[in-house]
Amino acid sequence: MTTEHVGVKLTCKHCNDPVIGTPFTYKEENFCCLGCKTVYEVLDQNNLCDYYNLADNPGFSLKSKSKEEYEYLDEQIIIDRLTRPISPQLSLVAFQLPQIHCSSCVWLLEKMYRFHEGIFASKVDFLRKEVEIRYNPNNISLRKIVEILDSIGYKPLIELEAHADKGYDEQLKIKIGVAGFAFGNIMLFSFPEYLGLEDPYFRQWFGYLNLVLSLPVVFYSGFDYIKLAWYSLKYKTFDINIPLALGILVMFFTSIYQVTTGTGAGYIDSLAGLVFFLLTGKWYQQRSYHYLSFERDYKSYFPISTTRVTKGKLTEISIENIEEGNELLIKNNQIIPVDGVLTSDNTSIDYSFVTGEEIPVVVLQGEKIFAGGKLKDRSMTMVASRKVKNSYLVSLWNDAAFHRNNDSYQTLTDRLSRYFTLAILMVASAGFIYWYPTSFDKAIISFTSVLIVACPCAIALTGPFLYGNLLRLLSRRGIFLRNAQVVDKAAGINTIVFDKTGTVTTQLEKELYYHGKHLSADDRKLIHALAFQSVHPLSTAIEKNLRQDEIWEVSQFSETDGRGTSCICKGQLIKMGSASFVGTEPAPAGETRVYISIDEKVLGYFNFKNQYREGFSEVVGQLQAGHKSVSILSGDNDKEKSNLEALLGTGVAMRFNHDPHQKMQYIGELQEKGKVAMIGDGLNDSGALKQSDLGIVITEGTNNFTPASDIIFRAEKFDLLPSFFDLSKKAHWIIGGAYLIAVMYNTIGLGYAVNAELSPVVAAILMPLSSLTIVIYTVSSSALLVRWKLKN
Amino acid sequence: MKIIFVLIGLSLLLAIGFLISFLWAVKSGQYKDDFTPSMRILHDDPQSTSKKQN
Repeated sequence: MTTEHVGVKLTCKHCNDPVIGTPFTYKEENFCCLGCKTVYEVLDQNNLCDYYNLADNPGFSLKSKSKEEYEYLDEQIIIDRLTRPISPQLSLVAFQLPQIHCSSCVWLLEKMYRFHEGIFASKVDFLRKEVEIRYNPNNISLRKIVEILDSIGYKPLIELEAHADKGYDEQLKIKIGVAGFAFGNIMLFSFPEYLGLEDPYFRQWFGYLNLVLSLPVVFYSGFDYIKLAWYSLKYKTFDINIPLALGILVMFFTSIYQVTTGTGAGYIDSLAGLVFFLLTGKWYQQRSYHYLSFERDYKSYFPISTTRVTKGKLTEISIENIEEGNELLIKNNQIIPVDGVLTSDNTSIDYSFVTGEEIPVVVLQGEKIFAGGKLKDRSMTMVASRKVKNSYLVSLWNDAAFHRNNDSYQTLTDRLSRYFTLAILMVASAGFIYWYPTSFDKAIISFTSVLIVACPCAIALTGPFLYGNLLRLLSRRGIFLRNAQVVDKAAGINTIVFDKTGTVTTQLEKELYYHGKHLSADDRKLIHALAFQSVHPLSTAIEKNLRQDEIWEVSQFSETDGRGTSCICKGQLIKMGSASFVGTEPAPAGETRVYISIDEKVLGYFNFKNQYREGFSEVVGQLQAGHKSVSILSGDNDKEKSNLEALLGTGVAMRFNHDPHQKMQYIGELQEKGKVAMIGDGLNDSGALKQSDLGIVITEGTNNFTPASDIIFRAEKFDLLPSFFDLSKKAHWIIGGAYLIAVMYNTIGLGYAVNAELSPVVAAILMPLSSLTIVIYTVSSSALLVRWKLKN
Repeated sequence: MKIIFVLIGLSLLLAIGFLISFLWAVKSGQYKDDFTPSMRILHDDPQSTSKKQN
């Protein structure tokens, strides 16, 4: 009896992945696939192999790469949409390259001019994963540029639809700049006041100067707060903007009154500081990962164009222009863009991304095929029976859930702020009523002072700095959140639904072990010959691991659905399948085994170690311990039900055979009872992800297709899922702590304020001090929280 | 002491000058990518003939 790890232990020179089967070689280097080898050749010919010395592991695996046609890039309409001409000899084009991940990428992509003289220069934006290329359109075509990028392993993500405008970011920076400028200068001109210089001449002069400087702060930088407060009043949402706007306006008008009447210096410094700090908080929170898209729909999964056959002639056609009755040619590994009927010979199609079913489906000539499937056979022809946007899968996007605006969500801060506003107004009025009988002036001063000092700057800063910092720290651990509100949303989740295929299962070929009698070289060839014939994922995995130079002929090949496969090869009967299929004792539950027999003699079995993600049962256990109900929702059939029950126990609800529309409905039903998080990976989960309160996508690599979601979770961090939910709850503790600090400062300030003794100096010290305390507190405590909850 | 008004005027002008140059820098996209330059600076130009061997 032996146990061996099948396959050779070599790593690919280009992508560093283990080489499975026979390696591809070039100049004594080993490669895992033809794609990787080709990239190395291209770089070698251009003397750019330094690429491999500059950073560890720069190359991306090209195993799953399919050959793409870029003919459509010769069309003038598409060129006009993608490029920006500067002069007749100079055009600009920018591409999204999701593969960019290290300094070698930057180095190589900025050497684009070495590949073709028509390219003048290229510039990489690392965080946006974008390259901007300047080229001469008379000398090199757009298509050629894309082909060069493709040949060195950076296949651009070409999307014809314009991205959301990035201009907002710029506006915010300018607003911060203006507020910072005013804040600095106002502080400078307030110095005489701080030092107690009583020269009335100076005071008046500086006062007016400060007022002028405060105008852009109130009417430009801080104007959004006033505007938002107005909307909040109008729609009765009473969010945090109301007390902020109240503070800004009261400070502004009190200052105008004091300066013009010569009764004081006003609170202009505090006002400018407030706006500056608020905007800084907004900026801190707004940092996003430009390269991850949380908004992708079917369009970024489908090809941009496909091949149309008209009277035996092939032309490229953009998929939006496909009409009913068009004849299309689909090549191996391409995605079928539209529903239709198969017109060529029988073929097999992998619908795993659409239905969750892993095993490719055999389609007979004349049968219906559906958009979203991947062709797993030689080229085929089909006739479209609908337009793309009416295809069954795509019709999911017409559902109401996709048009709902999720951004109206109220965070904890917003929910608390209405009580806060009410409390302040009550204290202010109490002060006013107390002083009114003695002095009207003092009553007014007391009233305004309370509004100034209690301005919820500290509270308004808690959210941005806490969530902004969490976003950043989590992204370093492979958890990417769409925005800051997501943390708050995650805290309220009590039901968690997992998709099965791809989400809780892993790719099969990774870990394959053989147990049993030693396999001779001939045995391996026999098994390979059989596995080569079958399209079942388990067979494919075995085939890859045993890859041979020569494939033996087989006869009488047969496949029994879900049980096994057999054939005759070199006069021997080879069987491969479940224990009962080859006639041996059944395998223990929870393990996936493929038994092998030659001439009815059982040799042993292949063990697929991690069909379910490592730690899956622990993750579910921890979630249940955290009082969350867990269910599994699959488009696949229920043959895995017993395995899953053995793994997870019976407390987990399981639904099988759900198509994308049904998945969406199921989430809707669960939402009547609670807040639901959907965890999925493919296009088939899009509806459910969108319908749920929190959509989480599990991805093996950040450049894979991910449907629209709130969180993108790296697959290797899957076991952090329960900790993440826990952490989102604990974040409320930090908010509580911050409010305590805010209340403490406010009590000090209010003490002065109600007595109508708030001097501008006290305000100018209290305000930045409280803001600074909050910032330091939230940033450091959130860092501790992440370190505590998500140990690496 | 009158001179202080001139000085304050000058300091304000100087500050406005800085503000304008900041606005120009933002507008011309200099703050768009504040990360890649830090990676770019570390690379030498490749030797066109020999392969680096360390």
